[in-house]
Amino acid sequence: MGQQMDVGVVVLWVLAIALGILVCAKRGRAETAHAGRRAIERAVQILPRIAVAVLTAGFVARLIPSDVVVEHIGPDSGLSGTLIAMLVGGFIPAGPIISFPLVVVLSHAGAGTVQLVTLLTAWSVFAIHRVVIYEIPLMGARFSAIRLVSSLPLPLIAAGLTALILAVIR
Amino acid sequence: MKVLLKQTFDKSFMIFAVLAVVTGTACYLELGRAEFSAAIAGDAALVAFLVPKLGAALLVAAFVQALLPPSFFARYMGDEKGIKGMAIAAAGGTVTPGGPMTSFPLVTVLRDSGTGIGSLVSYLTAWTTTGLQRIFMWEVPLMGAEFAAVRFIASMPLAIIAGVLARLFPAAIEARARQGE
Repeated sequence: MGQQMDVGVVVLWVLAIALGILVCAKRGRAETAHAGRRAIERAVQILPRIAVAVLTAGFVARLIPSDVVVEHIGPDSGLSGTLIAMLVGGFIPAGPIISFPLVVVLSHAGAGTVQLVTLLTAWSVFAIHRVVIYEIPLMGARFSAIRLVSSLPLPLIAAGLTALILAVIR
Repeated sequence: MKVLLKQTFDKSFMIFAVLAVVTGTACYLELGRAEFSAAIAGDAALVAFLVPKLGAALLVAAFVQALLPPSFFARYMGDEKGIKGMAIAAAGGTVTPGGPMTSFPLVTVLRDSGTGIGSLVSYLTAWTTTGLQRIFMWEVPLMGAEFAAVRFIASMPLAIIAGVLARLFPAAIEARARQGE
């Protein structure tokens, strides 16, 4: 596992450097420096949040008994497990910094792949905080309503397709 | 610098800092010192593993943004209607880097330049469900490549499905939604 991860880091950095050279060639040095500075600012903003999010997720992982997770959203929890995952995912009021560590915790505690895909899809399309902070002010409540209603079946469709893919590859 | 610090240690950071202290205390009291230390060691390993990837991912996102400004996508999405327009919008949403503060302003520009509601919904759905930046920055490092690949494939049709459903709404409702009501 460790070996594979190291390759991932290398690939990302090679990509970053290649893109940096491309930006420098196409848009000039000032733009490249500006982009670099923006990345550093984002990093400064994100890192403390990751630290507290990961800490919280780690503690919660040890506090939640894993049989509770397995019972409700384990691989054999069926349709009710998928619906619970959809409900939980739709109400996570946070961005990826919080949500992904939470998903890792649930995964280690024994949640099923189909249920985790459902949870992530529901979180992605419903994301309450994003609707309230960005979508309604910028696009209007009617647009949000149309999008949310149109997105209602999506977590279940993703769940069905995931089950299908897993049945084929396993 | 002062502004940056203020943005970093904002309300949501404080809420999660408090949560970390509360859950940490509960962990220490309920499970004992050994479990508490093990949790911290595990967290530290995870952070150490994430940081190098995150640094590169942030640089990639910033450079891609410099290369492909939002207007680049708008040019290709505004003209096409129907399923083809939704497919283009979905592709645009998948490759758009950045958080909601970059994608939502783009969506308002698209709406004002006449892009159909189906394409707008397709764009937003693709950006959230199959967005590459989120997948490379968070999902692959934390959940592994296989999980990310399975979820990506299972999510590919979602943007078009949502776009088609959005177009089923009566024209009157859509017209008022377009005005941002």
